Amino acid sequence: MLELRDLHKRYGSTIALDGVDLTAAPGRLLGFLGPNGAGKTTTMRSVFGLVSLDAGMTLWDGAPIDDDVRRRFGYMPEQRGIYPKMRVGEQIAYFAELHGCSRTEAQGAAERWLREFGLADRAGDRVDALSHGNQQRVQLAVALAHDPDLLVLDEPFSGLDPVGVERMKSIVRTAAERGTAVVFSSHQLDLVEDVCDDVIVVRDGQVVLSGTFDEVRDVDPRRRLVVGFTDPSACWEPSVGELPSGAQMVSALPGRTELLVPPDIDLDAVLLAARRAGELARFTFEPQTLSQIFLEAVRR
Amino acid sequence: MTPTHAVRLIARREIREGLRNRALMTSFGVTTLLILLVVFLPTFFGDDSTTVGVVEGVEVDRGALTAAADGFGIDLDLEDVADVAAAEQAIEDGDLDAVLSGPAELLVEDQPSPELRALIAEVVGRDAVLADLEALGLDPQEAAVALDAGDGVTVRSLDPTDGFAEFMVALAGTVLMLMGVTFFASQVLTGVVEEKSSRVVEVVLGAVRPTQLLTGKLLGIGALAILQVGGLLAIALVAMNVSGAIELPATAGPTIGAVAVWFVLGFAFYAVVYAAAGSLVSRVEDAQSTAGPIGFLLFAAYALSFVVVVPNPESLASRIVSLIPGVAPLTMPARVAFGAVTPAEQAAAITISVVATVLAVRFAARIYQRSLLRTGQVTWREAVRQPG
Repeated sequence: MLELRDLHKRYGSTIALDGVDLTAAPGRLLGFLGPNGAGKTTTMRSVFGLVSLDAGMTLWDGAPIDDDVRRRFGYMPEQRGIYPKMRVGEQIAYFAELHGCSRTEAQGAAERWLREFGLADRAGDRVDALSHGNQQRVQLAVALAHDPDLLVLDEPFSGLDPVGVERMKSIVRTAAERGTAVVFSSHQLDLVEDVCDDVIVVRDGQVVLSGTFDEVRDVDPRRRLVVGFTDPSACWEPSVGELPSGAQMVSALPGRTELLVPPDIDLDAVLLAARRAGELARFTFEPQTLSQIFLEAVRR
Repeated sequence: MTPTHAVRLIARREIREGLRNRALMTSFGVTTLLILLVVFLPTFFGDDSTTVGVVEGVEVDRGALTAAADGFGIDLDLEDVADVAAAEQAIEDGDLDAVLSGPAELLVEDQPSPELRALIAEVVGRDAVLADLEALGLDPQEAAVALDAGDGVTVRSLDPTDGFAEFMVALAGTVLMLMGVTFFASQVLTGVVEEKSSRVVEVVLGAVRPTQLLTGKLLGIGALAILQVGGLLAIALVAMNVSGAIELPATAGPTIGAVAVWFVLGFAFYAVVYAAAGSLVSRVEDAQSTAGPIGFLLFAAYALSFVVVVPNPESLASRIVSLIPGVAPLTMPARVAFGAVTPAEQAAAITISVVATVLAVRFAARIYQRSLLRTGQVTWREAVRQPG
């Protein structure tokens, strides 16, 4: 189990981390969310001793992370993070060996991961001869080859096409199923919603929200109410006085308006107001999306 | 995993990638070709016969000399020379390689080739000494024993201080040194910058310590450097041996030894400082700005070798520049080539250089460690001042 306690880091006058706490448990996927510059990368780098912290502790199973423990971690930085001129297969095997695998294990792991990613025939190619997507697969194979206890991925979904995103999700899910603690950062919340067991949201170096996905969702008791109109051009932008107190408009697009409403809302009043704008096609509650929770959290 | 294992893995990667590096392999191939060209070209165009003059009045069995010459691999031409003065002139003009100016006296510009000397000794030297000894009253048997002391040939050099061969050896040693150190130390520089710019260093440092990465890198690239420079030296020596076109002066052996020792010291010193320079920048394009001063030092040392050492290898200035760390690797081999260094001086220079290199390693490792993970460009001043 990874525990980061009260991390502080300042670069000159910029405060990067201002008391970050984070826990990642084996077999669970932790989504590490926050806008750019919130301190996600600095936090992740601190796990690997790449940041000299001003204060705070990085622990694994209750003890400070040392070299031996750290070698059991896998890391995929946001950009590149592999040797561009090195051969694909040798690269994966090299990093596996650096992380403590024997030569044979390392070569076996390289072959296995290249097969897994459909790159078996590219093992002898230089990394820079590969497409962007394939380079990222190699990068991921480097992070996974030594079968790490903790996998840290910085923005693993950025720059991937929808097929790539699904594939990445299935890879991190599989890793978690094998008992690996997985932490990944993202600013594309809609992509990661269905893959997070736990969520932590940071802003300006501080944790603003954390817990299981359900807990985080329950932080805000309001529900999302979606109103759809049969006329796709019907536009309903209710004014504040038009809605019962506590209700708030989230978005109003032609044919579709979204509201956040308290649990004890007077639904009849809302329905009446909506009907004035056109014939209704739908009037439903939907779960809050991570994006909304996130936006609310970082706005507060 | 032990630190040694990590260092070995890193060094092995450097060697494997180095052997695939096109620039490195090309430079090796081109230099090999140049060496072969320099060594073998004279044998294609040069007159490989040896012309020996015989001063009038000197009694020599010409038939025996010509007959024995083949056995020594010499294509011998004999010519008559009127007197010693004419002989000296002919040698200076390059018309004659050597002149027999007495029964066993060989007049040459600097030194006769070992083959020629052996031939003269065999044919005329022995007889001349035997005659002398018998004249002194020794019986022929005793005389023959006494003969083992020398070959009986007297060599008179017209210009023994010419030192051209020594100069060539000094030049070759210094140039090889400059090329080797520049090339391989800058391999370290670009290697460090590439690791930093591709961010791969973050993944590597997640598994090993900065000092292990630095050590492995230096050992790996150092091994390549020794392999290449040693290989070139070996090729040059074998080629010279095969062609027989270039006679190595007596200082060649010690010079090769000095080049070997100083190459290792010079590489270690410059490579580690270049590594520190590389760790200060995030882009390959910026590397020259931090590495520039080091390159300047390297070329200054090279220039000193020619401006100070070559004109007067035994001067005080030469002695001083061959003791300065960073400068010594380029000036010492030249002094050794001229036979101008005492063992005590060598020992002192090596000790100073080793101490300086150890200090440089510690200093550079600290800068490397502190700057490796910083983005943007770090100045030397900032790197030294930043907290550990």
